[in-house]
Amino acid sequence: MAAELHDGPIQGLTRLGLSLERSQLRLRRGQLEEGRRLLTDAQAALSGEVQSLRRIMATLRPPVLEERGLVSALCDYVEVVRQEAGISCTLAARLPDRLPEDHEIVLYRVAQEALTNVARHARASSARVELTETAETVVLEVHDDGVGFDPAAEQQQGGLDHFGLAGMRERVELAGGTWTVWSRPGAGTVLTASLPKALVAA
Amino acid sequence: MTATGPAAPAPRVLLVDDNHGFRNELRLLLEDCGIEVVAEGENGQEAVELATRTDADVVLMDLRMPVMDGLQAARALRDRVPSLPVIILSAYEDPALKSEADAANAYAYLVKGCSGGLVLDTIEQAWASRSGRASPN
Repeated sequence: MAAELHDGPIQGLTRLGLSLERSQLRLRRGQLEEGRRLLTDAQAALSGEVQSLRRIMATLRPPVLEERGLVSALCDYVEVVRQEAGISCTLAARLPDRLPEDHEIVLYRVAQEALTNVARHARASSARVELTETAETVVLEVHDDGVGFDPAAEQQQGGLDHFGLAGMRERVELAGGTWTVWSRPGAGTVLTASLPKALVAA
Repeated sequence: MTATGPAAPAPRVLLVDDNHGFRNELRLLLEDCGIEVVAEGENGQEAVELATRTDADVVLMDLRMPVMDGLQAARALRDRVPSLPVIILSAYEDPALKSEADAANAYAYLVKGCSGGLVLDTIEQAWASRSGRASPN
């Protein structure tokens, strides 16, 4: 998410600010036509940035998550991965009831981040998302058959932050859950996030 | 922002950022203000190579870039061309990154979103510090 904001709206809006300064400079110098042209371009660029922020907002909390719950939202996202990344991606969910809103957001974001990693880095041909529950916990697992990696080496090279793993773990632990990653070079990756059914006080 | 006339002496800038659109916009603004951009690069490695091949007075460089980031490049430049001031222009308003930039001997750490006027003033000051000129501000 940070990278998406860095590469998208932050760059775009900063660029827009510079463009407005150029138009101001032109107008001050009496170059009215050029100043107006820059302002028109800036207006169009601003619309583009608003659209870009709307897209990011939709991925933060998609309307489907609010209206139809985690299973439907994951179902939609798995379909997006299937179509856009060309990966055979499936969802197996056994969850009779809606979860607390905070839990749904945490599990949705973890699944989304994990599948983004699969699409970008894993070179996998298939991925599987599983959502199950026990009496005490809800468990999300994301499996892929990609190239895998050595988690110990990753930890040594600069922590788990490289693939956004540290952020995922932090998100789950803040909600009172546990997060693990299993992977081996050539043997794929399994991410597991478990949350207690009872809400954890913030 | 103060516009510099084309005939007045002005700093020559090496501009490094992996975002082509942003780099282009910044170059246009600098040029509108009479500052010459002598070369452009899109990662830290190119910054180090270009700094040793061009006659830039100041390096204006992004922080997060592929191949070699701005902090690594600033450290390499500190060792190879210690007299060349480096201004980091980063999207991250992070004291830890600013400290790292200070440790790499960066002249200044600016956060993207600051005014173009501040960027221009900082370039002028960095140039003045290098050439021993009195700062215009």
